[in-house]
Amino acid sequence: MTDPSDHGSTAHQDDMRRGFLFKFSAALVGGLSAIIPVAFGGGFFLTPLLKKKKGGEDGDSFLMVGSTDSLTPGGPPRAFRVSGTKTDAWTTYAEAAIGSVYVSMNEAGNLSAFNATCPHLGCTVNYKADANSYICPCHDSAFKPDGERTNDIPPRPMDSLEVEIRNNTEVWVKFQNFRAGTSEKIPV
Amino acid sequence: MIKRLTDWLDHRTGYRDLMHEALNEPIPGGAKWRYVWGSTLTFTFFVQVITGFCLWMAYSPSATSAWESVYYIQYHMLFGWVVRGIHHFAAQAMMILLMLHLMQVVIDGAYKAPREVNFWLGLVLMQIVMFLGLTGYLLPWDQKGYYATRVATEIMGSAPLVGPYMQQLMQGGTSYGNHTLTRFFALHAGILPAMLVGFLALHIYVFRRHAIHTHSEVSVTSSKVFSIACVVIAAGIAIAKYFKLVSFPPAYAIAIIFVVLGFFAFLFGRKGKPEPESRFWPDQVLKDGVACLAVMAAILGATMYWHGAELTAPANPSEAYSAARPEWYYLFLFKFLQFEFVSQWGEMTHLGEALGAIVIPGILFGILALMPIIAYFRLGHKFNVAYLWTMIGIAGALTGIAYYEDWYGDTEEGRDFRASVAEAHRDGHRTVELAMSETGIPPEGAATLLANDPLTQGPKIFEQYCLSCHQTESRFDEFEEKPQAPGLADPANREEIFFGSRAWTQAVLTDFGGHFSSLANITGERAEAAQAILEGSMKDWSDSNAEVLTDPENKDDYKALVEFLYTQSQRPDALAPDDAVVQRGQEIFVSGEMTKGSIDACVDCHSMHALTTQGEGNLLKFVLQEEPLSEDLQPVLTGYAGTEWLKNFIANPQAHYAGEYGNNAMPAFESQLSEHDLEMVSRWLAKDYYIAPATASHDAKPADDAPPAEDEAKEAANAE
Repeated sequence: MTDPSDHGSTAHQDDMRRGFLFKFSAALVGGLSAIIPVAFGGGFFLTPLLKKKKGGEDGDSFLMVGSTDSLTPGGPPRAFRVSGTKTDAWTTYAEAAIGSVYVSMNEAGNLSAFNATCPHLGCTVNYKADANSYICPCHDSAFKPDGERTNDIPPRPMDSLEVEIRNNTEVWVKFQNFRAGTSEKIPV
Repeated sequence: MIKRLTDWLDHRTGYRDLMHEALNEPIPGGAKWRYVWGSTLTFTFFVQVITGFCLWMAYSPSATSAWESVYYIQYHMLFGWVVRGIHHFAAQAMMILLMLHLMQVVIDGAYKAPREVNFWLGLVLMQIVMFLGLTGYLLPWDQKGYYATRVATEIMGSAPLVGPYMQQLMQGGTSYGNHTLTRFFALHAGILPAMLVGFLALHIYVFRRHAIHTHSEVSVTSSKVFSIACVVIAAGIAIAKYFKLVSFPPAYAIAIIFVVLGFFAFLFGRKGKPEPESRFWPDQVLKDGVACLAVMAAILGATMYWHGAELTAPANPSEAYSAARPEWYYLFLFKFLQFEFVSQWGEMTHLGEALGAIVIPGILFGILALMPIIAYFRLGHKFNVAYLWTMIGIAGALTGIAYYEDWYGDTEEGRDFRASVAEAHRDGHRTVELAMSETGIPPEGAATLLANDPLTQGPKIFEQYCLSCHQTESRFDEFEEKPQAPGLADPANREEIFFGSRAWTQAVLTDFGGHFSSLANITGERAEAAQAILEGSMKDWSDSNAEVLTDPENKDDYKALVEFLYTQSQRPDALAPDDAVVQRGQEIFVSGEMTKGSIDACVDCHSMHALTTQGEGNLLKFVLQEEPLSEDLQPVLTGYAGTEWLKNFIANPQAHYAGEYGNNAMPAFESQLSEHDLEMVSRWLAKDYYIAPATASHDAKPADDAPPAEDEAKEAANAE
């Protein structure tokens, strides 16, 4: 291998300048051609963050989940499956399971509903009749029947949902999911 | 500080030696443009890896989700169509670069000893790349890829002895399905790229071992001769075209291709000044970089120009596709197999299809692989160069012929091909329209969207069952028999329906005899019924009332009557039942009283439950009035020319025209058409299908968009 410093001093300086220019442009041009696919690919990869979800998707409106016949005033809450139209990337399901809710009726006959997802880390909580409370099977988050937490494991109470009775017996819930692990109730 | 850190890293890893080894390769005779091909190929492969990984993250290989996920990539993901387009066009660029690289190596004699093994490694790489192209073509699971790839696997199955087993292994069974996709995908995204990386590493390693090959004098001369020949041919074609000696449409494009080829040959043949030895970094890297940038720009340019890769209709084994062609780099083989003598030889040798598709290409490729050995002999290199040019010439000519026949040939096959391509584009476009509608893509997959789309299926059924009697004027000469009934619609112009249109109704009202004159061509047992129609009471009505209807003073009334009847069909451009014009039409229908004079009231012969409105706002809907306008008379005009009326009518014309009040000469189709087919053709004729809003999503434009003028017209129509 020949060493450039073997040349005369002027030629050496020229070589250095030329060398630097060459190196700079070589790196620039090479980098530029590589950056094009990387940039488009990066945008593509980041689609979930950069592209807004279209409105009207899963659960912006009320859904019928069950009948008041299965609830007793002051009785235990009952779990209902929520199903509705769901667009999952390219597929649209006319009737897909999108979550579950607990609905209970108080003595006065008013309904309250909770999303069954634990606000801690997203497991589905169980209602334990003997303890008369909601207990999460994952990390023992516990909630009273009114949704208030009874230990400090979950960051917030259970997520209440708007609920209505329509046509006398139909239970309609405005189903929504919320971000787990935060003290605020932030819809996702 | 940085120095100390890099020193530490170098001490622990020795990266400087590695970089030095990688970048400081000596290049005797100086950096040259002619050495860039290998680097551009490596670069293009890098582009494929980047875009390929991205696509991988969004692609789902199954028969009901492959097309769907590619659709999602193409029309919903950020830069989706760009990334897919780059991947598509970079694959083609790789083919071109492979050819150039091979040409450079052979012409320069760089394959000769001691570089034999590296030449063979290169040929393996070439096979891998071609196989990558083949496997990738299927993955979108659209009509084009599906049928083209099926031909390829059938060829594989034609191989002697092991063929059928190979084919089954490749397909994951005896037919195409989910397993075909998972296997092709594993090959395309896993096995083949891994092999490519391995062989590429070996290729570069062996290349470094023998250093770069400087070109021989022979190549300089032959390249110059070729270069001049190319320019002469190009000039010849251009002059012939200019003076209209040939009518070949893309003559200028071909002339340009020859000029480009000539220029490449010129670059190959440039002796250049004898320069001092230089280094890979940065001298050759700069040239490589510029070449890579040019390749990238070409890929991006093609992507923008064609708006990414196309996505035709979802694969459907029950829908024929007469435009099945492999990608253009396999087209020469396709054309070769079309020659009759190839099949005859195949029969003679008992090899069948395998002779032309596998044995002959195998032998030709074998000679290519033997080049380094052939070069041991005197004149061997000259033979190799001549062989290569001959092969390229023949393949080029076959490709050109195949391309010309398909796209410009005025033969039946050519026209069929182009019609099929147009249909595939149209169906692809329609599927996208339906997928973007409220209903979206059902879990059964997008193919069902098209299968249940009246606009797509209706014309096909009509063509098969209805057209021979209800001939459209443009196609009279296609049939031996004369038309036996009025033309209703043209399957080739499927968005315009004559049946039930305002013009149709006018013709029935004022020119009944003329309108139905083709019924006179009916012979046999239905002739009597046809005659009865032509001499029937509606004919008399039309003759005696036409004058009043067409009186200039009754112009608005006549229009109102037609509108009233048109509204019953509930077509998209029909007026609402409570519109004043429609209401006026209903009055005339019932009373026959016009501004000037009167007509015999329609209700005297026809019964109808007229359409009316119910509810308000969002709950507004059109329903049939319970009270008929007249009692039990035939023909029934309730919902005339609408979906239900048509469905009942096509199933059995006597449903509306029975008994002494009316008759119909049309045969019943309930025994010939399935319920689904009946619904498709009825809904098509009644224009009862999804119509996409004119303002399509802007970031998601289908590749084969309608010309802008048409879009504007549609928008204007919508605004009204």
